[in-house]
Amino acid sequence: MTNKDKVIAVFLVSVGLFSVCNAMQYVKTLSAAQKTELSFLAANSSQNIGDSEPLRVVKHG
Amino acid sequence: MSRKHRLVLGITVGTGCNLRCRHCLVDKNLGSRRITKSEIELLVSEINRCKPRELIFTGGEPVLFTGEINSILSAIHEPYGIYTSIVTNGSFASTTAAAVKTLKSFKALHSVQMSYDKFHAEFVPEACVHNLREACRRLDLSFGLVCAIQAPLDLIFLNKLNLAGVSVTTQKILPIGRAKDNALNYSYPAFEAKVLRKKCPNLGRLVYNCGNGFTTCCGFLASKPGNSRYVHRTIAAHLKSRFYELISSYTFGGLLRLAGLSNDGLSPAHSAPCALCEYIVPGILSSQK
Ligand code: SF4
Ligand code: SF4
Repeated sequence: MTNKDKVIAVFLVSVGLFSVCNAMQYVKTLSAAQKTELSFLAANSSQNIGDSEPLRVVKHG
Repeated sequence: MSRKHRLVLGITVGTGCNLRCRHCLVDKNLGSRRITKSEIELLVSEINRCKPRELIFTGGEPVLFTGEINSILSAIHEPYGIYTSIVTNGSFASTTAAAVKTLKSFKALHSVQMSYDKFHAEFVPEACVHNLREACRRLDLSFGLVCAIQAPLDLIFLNKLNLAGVSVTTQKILPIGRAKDNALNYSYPAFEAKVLRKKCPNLGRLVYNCGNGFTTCCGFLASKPGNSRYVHRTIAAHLKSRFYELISSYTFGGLLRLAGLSNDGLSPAHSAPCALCEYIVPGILSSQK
């Protein structure tokens, strides 16, 4: 795993999208361009993103 | 009761909507098209009794039900100051002025959550996000985005939306409503065992679904046909129900044991609490009839 892969995996776990194992597996499926997009997102908005599992009352769709 | 312990109440004022998103989770069994006058009376008396700390108006599209929302807000006893939010598709924000006008039509409003993602973007131009955000800034309302996703990559549109400082709530798509019809679902590579240590993530919140009643469930179970085991006419009846007792007392691992089920039958999709809940809870309730 490259450093970029790790940054993305940590981001996915920290915002509640995957557990560690699934995050690592998911990162492996991404193309280089997709990794660049996700690492940009991680760098710029990780503090503002949070998962609402399952829907809470924000279930508008 | 201290403010922190008072509940958060979501209100589905109507399932009617001006859009028809492919991933819409609003199932036909969830509620009726529009809340009725008698339901508003019941709801108001429940709100006045339970004094929730927050009301979240949702739909369908709540902006289509401004009259009904204002009837509820006008009849609530002050002065305990309820934080009020709407969850909207924001399609009314064609200009900032139009957005300001619509938001001002609510008797009380503190926060706007706009549902925006690749599915809503098929109908709603990006400009509406910026217009609504600006309208909220002018009216001193909190503004956030709710993004439904099938996979983390669905979030990368945020990179070009340039919404620094805006809070984003992701919502993993569940196979309910049109999402189910269109085979849309958040997919997990493998089963995540940590879900077994969790309880229903909606505990501490209740939803009133018009045409149905009060429930903790805003996921699979409330959308089931014949959902009377999960949805009740009053808050007290719901909190006394066997269903509420189960989901508030047990983790999903505990429920699995109670149901006499093993982990072997669990698939990656059961990493989602609602999918796991649907797998376990109806069986327990049927066996205890
Ligand atoms: S997801 Fe929201 S905006 Fe889209 S059809 Fe459903 S209720 Fe309407
Ligand atoms: S399906 Fe179960 S876990 Fe999901 S909101 Fe309903 S009660 Fe909670």
